[in-house]
This record gives sequence, structure tokens and C-alpha cells, in this order.
Amino acid sequence: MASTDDKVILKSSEGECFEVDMAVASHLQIVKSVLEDCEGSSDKVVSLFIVEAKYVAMIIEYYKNYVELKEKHEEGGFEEKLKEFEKQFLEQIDKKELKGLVMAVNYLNAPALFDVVCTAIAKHIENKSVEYVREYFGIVNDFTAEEEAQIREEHRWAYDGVNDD
Amino acid sequence: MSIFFPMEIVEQILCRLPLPVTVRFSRVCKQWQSLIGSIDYNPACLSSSKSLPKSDGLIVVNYSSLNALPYPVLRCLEPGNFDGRRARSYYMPHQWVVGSIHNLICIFSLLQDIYIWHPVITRYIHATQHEFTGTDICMMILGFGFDAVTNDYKVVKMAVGGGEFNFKAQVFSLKAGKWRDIRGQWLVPEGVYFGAVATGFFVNGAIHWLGSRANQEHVILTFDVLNECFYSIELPDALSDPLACIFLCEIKGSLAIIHNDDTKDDVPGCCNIWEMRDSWTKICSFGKQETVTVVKVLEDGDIWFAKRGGTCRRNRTEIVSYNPSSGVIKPTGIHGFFSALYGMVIIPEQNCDGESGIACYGLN
Repeated sequence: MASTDDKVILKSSEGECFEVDMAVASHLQIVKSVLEDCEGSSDKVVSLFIVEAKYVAMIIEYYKNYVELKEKHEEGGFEEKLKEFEKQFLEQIDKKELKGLVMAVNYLNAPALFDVVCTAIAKHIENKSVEYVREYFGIVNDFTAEEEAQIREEHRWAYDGVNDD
Repeated sequence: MSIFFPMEIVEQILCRLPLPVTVRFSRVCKQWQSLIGSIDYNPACLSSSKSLPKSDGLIVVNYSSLNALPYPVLRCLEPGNFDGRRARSYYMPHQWVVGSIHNLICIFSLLQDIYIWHPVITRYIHATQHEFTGTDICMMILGFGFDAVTNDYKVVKMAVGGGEFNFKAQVFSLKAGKWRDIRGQWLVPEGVYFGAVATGFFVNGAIHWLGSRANQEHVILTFDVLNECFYSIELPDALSDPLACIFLCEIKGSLAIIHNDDTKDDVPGCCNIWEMRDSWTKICSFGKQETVTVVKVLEDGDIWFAKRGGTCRRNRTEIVSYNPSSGVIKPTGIHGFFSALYGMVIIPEQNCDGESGIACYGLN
């Protein structure tokens, strides 16, 4: 069993606390560097000021499984098992939540999960219309109708197989 | 969490998308458009599209409008002295430019790989290697065309084997993302020679190659991009003549031929332009003093010639613009390797770091 020395507490923007194994938390570069900065201090609480609790929970869940699978499949098969888990993991996340999650992961600097979420968002928008993408990311169209028509004409070939939602 | 979505994350998402999708999303907003034009795509995280592999060899592409000249200046960069992405100059070995349509450039490498490349966003699609089996290939006939009916870009590749003159042809559809064999009625005139690698000229829904028969007379082989069939176009005697120096070009949407007539030693050469509408018609003729190659016939009727030597260094070429009705020849300020002037692609202004540009590419 891990001793309390190997635990760290992550505090969400709402002040909710999550006790996490160091092996898990060390995948978050920001946590790692904060702890290195205050080495020797008994205070093992890291405040993640801008990250909501629901995202902290998701990130912990991902890396907990990541660490466990890595231990279990040291001799191979880790990548396949991780892929399986990632699929399940993404299924339970709302498409709108992916945006919040990717920003949280980007802030915490966790490369493996960042790649997973970016790929998931890319897959989600791949067959979507430009209008959907604007709405999804909350972007205001700053092209004039003429400019837009011109760009569309230039790239006509890229518009097939697009869903309207 | 703020609603502001950082562009660094958008970039990471976009570089995980296939090329046509990214291109489509350049319409989202101006910030995305400029981002898509400047993304440094990481080949490791892309599957269907990557930036072209670096190697020694050569094609040079460049454009610029330096020195406040009223026309674009084309610089050829020397090996080892370029910054590919920033200057939008590309150096590629042993590769042929098959053709360019709507800012897409089709490239064929000696390894028989075909790439459809977008120089503005510096990404490409690799038309995966496909085999022609049971044939010793002695000629490779390639073309890049656009099918306006199905809104699809197609690459056609025909291999001609030795001995029995065995033709095999395949088409790559950008939409389908794969090759398929062409079957059915497509007869190539027997004994027509095109050179080891022949790249076709696309105009008005069809790709055309200039070939020679066994008796060395010129003939045009044509591929209908929509119906995916081949046929041949006969030429009038003046053009089919083995000694006639002819080039294919496009005039206002029709196939045309530039004929450099240098056959009479004592008379200065002249240049004839023939146009194919219902039949071949000579539409204009003018005298010329030097060896020239036609690069392009512009919309307004001006003709761009590649002129060897001149004010440029040896083995270099200058492109001059000629107006057939006034007879005026003007420099365009574009220079390049003589054999490298292969075609042109217009790069949209907003994607050229503020400079309007024209790119010229070719084979050394």
C-alpha cells in the first residue's frame, strides 16, 4: 500500500479536494512542477484554480486507469488495452464537455490525454458543417457573404460527405 | 472555464484532420483561415495527409512581389539555401509535376508515388502505391484532371510495358481516396510513344498527351475525366509533321497548340497558334527572333514565353509576356531554370504573407 507521502491533493476551482496517488498525479506536468518547487514542504495540496471538479475527476479517472493498465501489462498489450479503455472513457463524455476537458488538460499539461481528447474532437467535427463548427466553438463568422462564397468556390471539392447538424 | 477557446488547441485539433476537412474549415472565420495557412503540421499525428518529405534533388517553387515591381518576381532558390515553409519554396528530387488545378498540384516521384499537394497550406494526400504487375514498365503516362460533374479530382496513370505493348490504366479519385482499374473501351493507337514519363495537359474536362507514332508523326491521346475513357485526336499535317515543334496549351477553355516553326533556315522563325474547337484552326501567327517555349496563354490573350538566356545567367530562362495583337513583348520579371518552367499555380493573395504571388514549379 502506498503511504500518505505518495498522495497529493488536487483542489478544483470550486474548492473540491481529490486525493490522488503521486504515480497518477505525476502525469500532470503542472502538478509535478508545483511539487518540485515546494519540495520539502509538508503541504501536498495543489490548487488547480481554473479547472472544474468534473474535469478533475475525468482526468484522474483517465490517468488512474493509465497507470493501472501500464502495471498490469508491462510485458505487452498495454497499448491495446489503453485504446479499449479510452473508447469507453470517451463514450461517457458529452461532446460539449470535450471542449472543457481539452482546455483543462492543456492547462494541466498532460500530453497523453491531450492527444486523446484532441483526436476525439477532431473526429467529432470531421464530417460536420462549417456552421456547426462555429456554433460548437462559439465562433462568430467574420467573413462577408462574398468572401465566404469565394472561399467556398475555391474549395468546392472539400465539401462532400458533410452532415448538416 | 472561460468561453475563449485557445488557438493553440484549435491548431492541435485541426492538424489531426484530413486535408479536405481542414480546407473546408478555413471558412469558419478569418483567424482559422490564417491558422490553417500557417500550421506546422506534425507528420507523426497525421494519417491521410502530411507535409511533403524532405530530400535532396529538385523542384523549386517560388513567388514573390519584391522590389515593389508591378509584377510578380519568381526566384529560384538554390539547394541548401531555403526555408521551405516560410518562403513557400519547395525542393524535391526526381519528381514530375503532373498538373495543377484549383491550387492543388499533383506530383509524381520516381518511386512511383503520387501526391496531391496543396502548396498554400503545405499539406498533401498520398495516393498510396498501387501495383502494375506482370509488366516491365517502359513508359508512364500520367494526368491530373477535375471532373466537374462529380466534383472530384482524378489522377490517371497508364503504364506501358515493353515487348507486347501492353497498356494498363488506373484512376485515383480524391473523393474515394483510392485507385481503381479502368476497363472497357479505351484503345490507344498502337505504337505511340510518349517518352519515359509523360504528363498530360488538362483542359475542359479532358487530359491530353502529345505522343508520336512509329513514323514519328505527332498525335494527341486524350482521356475523358468524367467517362474515364481514352481516345486519340488527329492533327492537321502542319502539326503532325515530325519536325514540327509543338506544345499543348489552353486558350479560353479550349485545347490549343503552339507551333514554333523554325524549319526554314534562311527565314526567321514564326510561331503559330492553333485552337481546337470543332476542328483545328490556326488563330494567329507571328514572327519571333529567339528560341522560346510557351509557358502559358493568359485569359486576356497575352502569351507567356520562356526565353532562354537573355539577361539571365546561362541555362537560365526569363519569362516574357507577348501580346499577339499589338506585337509588344514585355518582361514579366520571372526567372527560372529553362527546363524547370513547367506550369504555374496562382496562390491566393491572403495566403502569401501579404504579397500577391504566383508560383512556378518544375523539374530540373
